[in-house]
Amino acid sequence: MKDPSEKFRKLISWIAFLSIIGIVFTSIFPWVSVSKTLPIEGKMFYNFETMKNSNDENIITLSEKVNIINILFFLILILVIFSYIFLIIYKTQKYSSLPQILIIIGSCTILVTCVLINYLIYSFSEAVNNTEYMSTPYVFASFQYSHIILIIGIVLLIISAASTSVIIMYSYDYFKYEAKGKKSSQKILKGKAEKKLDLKEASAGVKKSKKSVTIKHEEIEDWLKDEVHNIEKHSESIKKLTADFYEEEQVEKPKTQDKIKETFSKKDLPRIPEEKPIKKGVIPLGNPFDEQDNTPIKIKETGKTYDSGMTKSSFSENEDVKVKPVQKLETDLTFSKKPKSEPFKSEVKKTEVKIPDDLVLTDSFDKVLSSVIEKRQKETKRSSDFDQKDKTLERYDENAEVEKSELNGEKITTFTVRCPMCKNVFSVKKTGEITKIKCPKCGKEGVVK
Amino acid sequence: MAFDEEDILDEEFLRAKKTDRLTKEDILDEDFKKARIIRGKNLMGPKKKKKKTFLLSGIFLIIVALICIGIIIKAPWAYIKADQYENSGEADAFIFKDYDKYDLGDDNESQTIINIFEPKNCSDDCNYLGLTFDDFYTPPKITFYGFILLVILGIIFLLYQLIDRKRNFSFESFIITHSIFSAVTIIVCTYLLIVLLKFFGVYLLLYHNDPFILSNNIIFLSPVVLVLVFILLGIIKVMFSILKFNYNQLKQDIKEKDSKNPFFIYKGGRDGVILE
Repeated sequence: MKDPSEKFRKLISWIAFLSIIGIVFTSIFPWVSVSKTLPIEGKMFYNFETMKNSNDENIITLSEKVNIINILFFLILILVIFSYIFLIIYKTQKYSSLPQILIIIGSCTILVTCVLINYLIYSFSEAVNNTEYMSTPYVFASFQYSHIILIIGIVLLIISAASTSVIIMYSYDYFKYEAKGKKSSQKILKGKAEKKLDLKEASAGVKKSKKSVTIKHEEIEDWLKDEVHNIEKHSESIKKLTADFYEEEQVEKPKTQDKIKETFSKKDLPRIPEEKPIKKGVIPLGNPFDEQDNTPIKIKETGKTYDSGMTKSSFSENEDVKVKPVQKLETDLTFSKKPKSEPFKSEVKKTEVKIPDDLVLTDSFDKVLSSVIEKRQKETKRSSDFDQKDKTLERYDENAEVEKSELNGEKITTFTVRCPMCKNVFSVKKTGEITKIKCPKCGKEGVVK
Repeated sequence: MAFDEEDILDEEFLRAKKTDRLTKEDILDEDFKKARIIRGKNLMGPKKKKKKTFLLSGIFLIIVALICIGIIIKAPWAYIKADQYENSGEADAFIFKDYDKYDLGDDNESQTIINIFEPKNCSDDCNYLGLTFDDFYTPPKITFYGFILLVILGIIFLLYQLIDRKRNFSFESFIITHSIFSAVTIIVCTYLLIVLLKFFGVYLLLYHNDPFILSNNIIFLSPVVLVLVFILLGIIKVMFSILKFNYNQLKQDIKEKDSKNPFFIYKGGRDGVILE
């Protein structure tokens, strides 16, 4: 829905200009020519002022029509000026719909006035031609003075019709969408009110009917389904990137989806385990979904303790160390540039591994450490590979943007936005500074800056 | 066994980490800047208040109207020179704002010019063409009061601007008031234009009704009226341009703010745009 205020402003400026010309011409031009025989044979011309002062009754009656035409031109000018002011008030956005309504009324009145002017000019020329001794004066050949004013009237009529149609079409769409928005907001408010009431009833221990309970559960289920679907969507990219790593290491993947499904089956909200804050000197290991003993091992050696951050489960009995993937580090390296607006945030705090220098370790721990170092080095290589991949992807995207820009002459960038009305998340292609968009679900219109 | 960072992290890893950090910091900085811009905060310091320009339209209107009043009072509006009846000599007359003040007396021949378009061989009923000599005495008086009204309008707007400096009205209300003021001025000017156009009609009538006019060498001059008409058209043009200027200012303001849009603003997205 394009804002037509600029177009409307131009049209009403033209109307104002033409109405001033109309006023000038009606005042100056001769309207009637009377054929006289006495004392001299010929035609006498009367303009607006002379018609008023004439002693001929027919001319005086005709002068009233001319007077009305003059007043109507003046009225159009006044209406146009007021429309201009209403347009300025509308642009200030202080009063949303009132100036719009007044503009519509004004433009409609201008249209009617233009019609009336044309009718009066036509009727005037008809009346003059019907009278025997009168005729309309000619500029040249058969082109009359009144024709000039008639042309101005017709042009005014066309422009006013255009301006009226522009403003009416825009207002119709505007009020339609506003009504839709009101309806949807009322629905939301009603829903919220019902939910509040339900909660109050539940807290008060009031027994509810089975129907209401089932509906509520269904609603919750639907909501949960949507949420799970969203999680799956967002975790797809993560899975793809982590797949290679898990395949190589032959380590069990964290069964996040299964966990979520389990929780869903229990009709509880999906809970993601809270990330414990990682202290300095702690190497985070282990799967957060493992139900094993994840208490960190403290190695006592020469009276000093060292918190390795590794779990007991990560050590086998025969000292063959099987180190589980460093999940936190992995996520940190691979998905550091993750968007913040995802439903389940995977914000990972960066950890700096600082190990005290004066630490003496056992042989077994030394082995573990060496293996960890090797893995880290591998991971760094992998991460660099990932980064390279990402870069290539970005480059591809940039190229695509350039291609698009070459085609359309404007930069096109994609955004994901959430509708404030229905909370629907959808992608939008932005062109220029401001792009107007429409929600595909509820039809709410808006602007992306 | 000494355990340094260098042992664990090789150079490439460190470099990658450094670059990664840098990029992250850069991204955060950019995001922060964008957020500040969106929230209307200037990065260079506090947001500058939009200065309301002291528009000189009020002063301009007062000055122009005073000049016009001076012209109306002092200068003659029109000069008419015509032959009298056959062999009775010439008659001429100046039309001033105040007819009584510039009355030339009974002895003067100008008093005999009653009708400008006085026909040849006029009998008793010779006023059928209308537009007598006295018809031209009303426009100067009307235009005089009209220009006084314009002066009052100019003073009112000047006072409003001075009050605005102390009370500091909102930008929108200032623009609306200014537009209303200019609209009223346009209406007054247009009415004065209609009044003055009577003088221009005479030229066309003289051209067309030449065979019916008694005098062969009738002269009708109204240079002051021409000047006044052009001044009035100029004022109308200036007032329309003020309206356009106000509109464009609001348009720019909306572009800058973009906050008071009639629809929802999707302040949102992943790539640096805030989601609400």
